[in-house]
Amino acid sequence: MATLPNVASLDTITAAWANSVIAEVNASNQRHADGPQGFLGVAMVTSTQSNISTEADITGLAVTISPPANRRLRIELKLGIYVQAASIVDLRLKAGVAQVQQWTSGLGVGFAVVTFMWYGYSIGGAVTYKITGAATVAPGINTTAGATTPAILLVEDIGKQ
Amino acid sequence: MATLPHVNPLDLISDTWANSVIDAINALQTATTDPTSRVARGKVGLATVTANQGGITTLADITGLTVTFASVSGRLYRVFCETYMQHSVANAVVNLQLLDGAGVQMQSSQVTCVNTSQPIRISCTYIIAGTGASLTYKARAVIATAGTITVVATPSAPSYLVAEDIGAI
Repeated sequence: MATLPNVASLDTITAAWANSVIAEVNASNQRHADGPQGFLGVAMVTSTQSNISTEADITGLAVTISPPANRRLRIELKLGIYVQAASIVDLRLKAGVAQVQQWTSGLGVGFAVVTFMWYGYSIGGAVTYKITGAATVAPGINTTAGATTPAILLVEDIGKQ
Repeated sequence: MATLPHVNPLDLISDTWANSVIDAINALQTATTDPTSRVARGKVGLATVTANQGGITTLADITGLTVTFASVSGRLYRVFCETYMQHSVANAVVNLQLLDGAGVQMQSSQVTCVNTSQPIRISCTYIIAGTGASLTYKARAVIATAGTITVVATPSAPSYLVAEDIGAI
């Protein structure tokens, strides 16, 4: 970032000085536009969903965004689960129908918290990001969301691609 | 935000041109201070802990994992906490809770600790709208199965609680 020159007197205001001001303002505007634009959308779920073994949408954990193309996106998931029978558990992040991120673990009976992030970029137009769950052994997993322990899917613009 | 035209060396610098510069600078300043600006402003609070806290048999605030920040109405904040916990009993359940300044639980993460000698990493995320008031968030370790919890932290594996401005609502 350039330091703009001071003007000694009105007589010293030249086109070169004016253009240095213009160049810096334009550069600042561009840095601003290229930087993180922040929050795009969030889904918070406060109710449980039971017996997920065959892949199913996690109800309510979906966010639709419409950023301009070529923005860098960060998507963060926080979801509590209870594994009812030892199995391989899958949580998937999908953009429309296409999977873009996956969390897979072999888990025993008990509680777990799934947190992951995905870094991608926008291509322009509306896209819905959603979470699906699956487990290899029935009755599968229950989500453990509640009013004081919400599941969260957060989408942020973190800058120009 | 418009891109300003350069000045032709032969042009006179007019009040119109000067005002367009002023307008552009004002717009830039507004973008960084106006609550309705989408731009994320980043960290507003951070607490880091690098020492163990043991002997928790019911529940306890995690010493040092508290942040207080001046919230701005119209802004959205992400509060994130992460730590290791270890339980004295195999296959026991622990909770990491995120509480507000009044002690009201806002979020929690519940995990089964399989192994008594291996701590497990737990995290909590919460999204909160600014109110214009000072907001406090703190982390608490809660036991769900009888025994003893140790919150495990070292300089190379610190526990932390961070609050970030993530943009306009």
